[in-house]
Amino acid sequence: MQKLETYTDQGLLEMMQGSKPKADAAFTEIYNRYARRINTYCIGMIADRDDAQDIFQETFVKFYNSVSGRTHAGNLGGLIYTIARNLCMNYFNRKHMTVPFDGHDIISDYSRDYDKNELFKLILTSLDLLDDKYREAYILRELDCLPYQEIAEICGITLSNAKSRVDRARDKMMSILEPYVKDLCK
Amino acid sequence: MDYNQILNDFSNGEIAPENEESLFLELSANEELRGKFRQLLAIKNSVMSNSRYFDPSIASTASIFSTLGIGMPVSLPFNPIQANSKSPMKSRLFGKYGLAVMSSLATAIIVTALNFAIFPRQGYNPNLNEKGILQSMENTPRDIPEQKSVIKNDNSINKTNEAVVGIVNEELKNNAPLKNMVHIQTGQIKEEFSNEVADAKEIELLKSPVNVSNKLTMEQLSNHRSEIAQINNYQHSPEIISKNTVASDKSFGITLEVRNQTVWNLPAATIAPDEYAKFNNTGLAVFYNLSEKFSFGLDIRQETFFQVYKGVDDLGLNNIYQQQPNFRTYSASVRFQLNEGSTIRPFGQLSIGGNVVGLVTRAMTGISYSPYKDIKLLLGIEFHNLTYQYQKQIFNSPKIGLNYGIAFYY
Repeated sequence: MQKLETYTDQGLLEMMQGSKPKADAAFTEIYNRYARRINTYCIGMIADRDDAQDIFQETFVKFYNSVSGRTHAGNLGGLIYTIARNLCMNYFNRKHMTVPFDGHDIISDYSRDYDKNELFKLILTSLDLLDDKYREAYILRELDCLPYQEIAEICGITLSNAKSRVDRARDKMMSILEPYVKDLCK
Repeated sequence: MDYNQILNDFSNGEIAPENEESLFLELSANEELRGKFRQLLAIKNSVMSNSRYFDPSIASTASIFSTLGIGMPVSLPFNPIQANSKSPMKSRLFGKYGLAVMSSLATAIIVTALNFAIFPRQGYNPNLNEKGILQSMENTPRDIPEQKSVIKNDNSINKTNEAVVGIVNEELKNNAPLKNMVHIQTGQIKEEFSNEVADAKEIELLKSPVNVSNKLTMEQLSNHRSEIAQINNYQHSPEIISKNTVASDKSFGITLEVRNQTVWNLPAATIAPDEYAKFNNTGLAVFYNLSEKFSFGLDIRQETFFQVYKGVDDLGLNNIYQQQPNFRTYSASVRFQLNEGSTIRPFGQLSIGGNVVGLVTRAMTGISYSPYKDIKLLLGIEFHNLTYQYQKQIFNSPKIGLNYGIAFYY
C-alpha cells in the first residue's frame, strides 16, 4: 500500500470518501500536514489561548464533517484555513475584540535585557494590536509562511491586495516593536 | 525609490534583480535602513526559533480525534506540547495507574504485617503440639474474666462443655468423689443455661471442669486430651472470648462507606473547572475492622483541588498558574474509634494516597452514630492537602471539608 505521506491533498480527500478506516487514516495525514499551521493561525488571531484551542479543535471537526461527499476541494489547505477563518470571524463577532492600532502601545514591565523568547512574546502581544485583516495577513505570511496567492484565496482578496496587507502589517509590527527591537539589535 | 518596499520584497525573497544591488548600496550608506533591516531579521528569527510554540497540544489533538471517534495517531510530525494552557502541569509524581497499584501494594503489605505481627491468627496456637496441649492445660490460668459472656452468648460452647464434662465423667467411672462432683457440675450448668443466669457462682462452675482435669492422671487423659485441650483452649483463649463477646456488635468484618463532603479551599478558589466530574466530592471507602477500635480502609474519591503554583513557561516568562482540575484520588486510611459498644462514637482518621499529580494526605475527626445494628452515620471535619511538584518546586493545595456519609456493615 502506498504510504499516506506520498498522497496529494486531492488523493487524501478522495480517500476520505471511502470506508471509515481509510477516511480516518486520510484525515490523520491531513491533520499532520495542517495542524501546526492552523494552530498558528488560531493562536495568532485569538489572544486567549484557550479560545484559540477551542477554535483549532472545532476547525478540524468541522472539516472532517464537511468533506463528506466532496471529491474536489481545490486547495485543501485553503479549505481548512477558510473554516478556521470563519470560526475566528464568528468569534470576533461574538466578542467584539477588535483593538484599534492607533494610540496603543505595548505595556511591558520586562527589563531591557531581552532574549529571544521575550521578543517572541512581544511579537505575539503586538499581533493583538493590529486590525484583524492585517493581523491575519501577517500571520499567514510571516508565521505560516504561505505564498501570497494562497493568502489571497483564503482572505478572498486579490493578489496585490494580499501583498499590500502583508506589507502594511509588517510595517505596523515594526512600528510597534521598534523601541524594543532597537535595543535588541544594538 | 521606496527602500522599505524593496526591503519587504527582499524579506519575502521576491526582490527584483535590478533592485538588489541598489538595496545593498543603500544599506551600506543608510544607517536607518540598516537598523530596520536588522529589526526585520530579528523578528523573523524570533518567530522561526519559537515555531514550536505553535505546535498543537496533545490535549487538543486528543480532543479532536476522540470527538471524531478516531484513534489517536501514534506519532505526529510536530512535537506536541505536553500540556495545554489550561493545565500546564507537566510533572507527575506517579503514572496514570501507578498510583493505584502502589496504593494497593502498600495496603496489602500493611494488612499482612498487622495480621502476622500484631494480631495473631485466630484459632491457631503454635504452642499446642502433643506435649504442649497438656502443658497448656496445666498452665491454664484459673481466673477467666470473660467467661460470663461466653456462657450467655454462645450456646454451642454450652453444649460442648456438657459433652466434655460427659467425657471426663466416663473416664472417671471408678472415681466416686470426682464422679459426683462432675454430675453436680453438669446439672448445674444445664440449669444455668436454661435460666440464662450469669453470676459469680456460674463462673466458678464453668471453671470446675478444668479443676477436674487437673486432678486426672496423665494416663487417664491420654485418649481424650485433644478434645479437652480443644475446649480448654477455646475457653481460655482471650482472642476467641473477645471475638464471641463482641460478635453481636459486628465490630469485626467489612464496612462499606459512602461519603459526600462540602469543601472550602484554602485559599478560596478563584477559578472553577469548566465541568465538574460526576460524583464530585463523593467518596467510596471499604474498611476492614482490625479491632473494635482500629480499622483500616481504602477509599476512592472524586474531588477537586484548587492549585496555585508558579512556573516558567516555554517563553521563559514567570507565571502564576491557577487551576482547579478534577481528580480521582486513591488513598489508604487508618481509623481510631472510642467508646466501644456505644451508639455514638467519636473517631479520628488519617489517610494517605494520591492522584495523578501528587500526594494527598488527610486528617479527619468526627462522630459516628449507629441507629441500627448494620448501619452507621458519619459526620466529620476533614483536612486535605495535595502536595505536588512543578518544575522541581513543591506546592501544596489544602482544603477543609465537612464530611457526611453512611456506612454499612457486612
